[in-house]
Amino acid sequence: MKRIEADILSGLGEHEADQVLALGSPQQYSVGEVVFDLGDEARSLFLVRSGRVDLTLPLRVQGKEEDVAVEERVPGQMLGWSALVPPHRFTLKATVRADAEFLVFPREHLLEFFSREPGVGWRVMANVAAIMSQRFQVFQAMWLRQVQVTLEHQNA
Amino acid sequence: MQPLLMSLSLCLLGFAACVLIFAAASRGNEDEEEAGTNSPPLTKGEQFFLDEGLSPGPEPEEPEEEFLYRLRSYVRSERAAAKSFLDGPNVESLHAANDSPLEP
Repeated sequence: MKRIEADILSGLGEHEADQVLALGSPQQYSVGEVVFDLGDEARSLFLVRSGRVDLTLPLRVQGKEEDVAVEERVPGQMLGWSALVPPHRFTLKATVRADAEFLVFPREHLLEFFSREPGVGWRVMANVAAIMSQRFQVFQAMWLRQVQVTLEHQNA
Repeated sequence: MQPLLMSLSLCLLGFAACVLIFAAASRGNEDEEEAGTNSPPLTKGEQFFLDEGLSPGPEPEEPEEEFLYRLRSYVRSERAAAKSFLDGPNVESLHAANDSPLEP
């Protein structure tokens, strides 16, 4: 299996990273396929090995619901951290934009491994926290900008 | 002399306007009376559609795909602006205008 640089494996040694990667099983998705939908129960973490994935939110546009991409994932990036964080529900929808292969990590496998290797578990969870933190900060800045735009419209 | 002529002109204009308004109002009353004698009174539902027919109606919708494209570009640009703000937080980058405005 070709080794990939993965954001959740940052800071791990080669042997430890290989141990984590061995917990995942490869899955192929074709363009247009939905990997998971907003609100679905999150049972697995996904690592993109190839292809491209859009993470979208539904917006009502001219009376119809449309998926609008707010993030994208490329090889080496993870999606589906909701699998590791209660209440284990996906907060975005993931749709394949270019044929993709994932390594899929069931939550139970990861948690069981982390309990045996707490040092590895701590590092992986710290990486997951960094990814979540970035999402939070980007959305917070986007929200602030929208509040500013609304205020400017009201004062115009 | 000039002020007198100006006053006279304004009076004539005002009189002409009054005549036009009175004529228009009288014609409206006649129409209403005719409508009252020749046609049954409008029910609430018919009145609703009559009003709707008189109104210009909603603005024509722009092509959906064009709007969606603009919306997606706007969100992408907002996200880039937010990331730029996080790279170097300052008030200017937080308030910088979006390069892909939502409104055309």
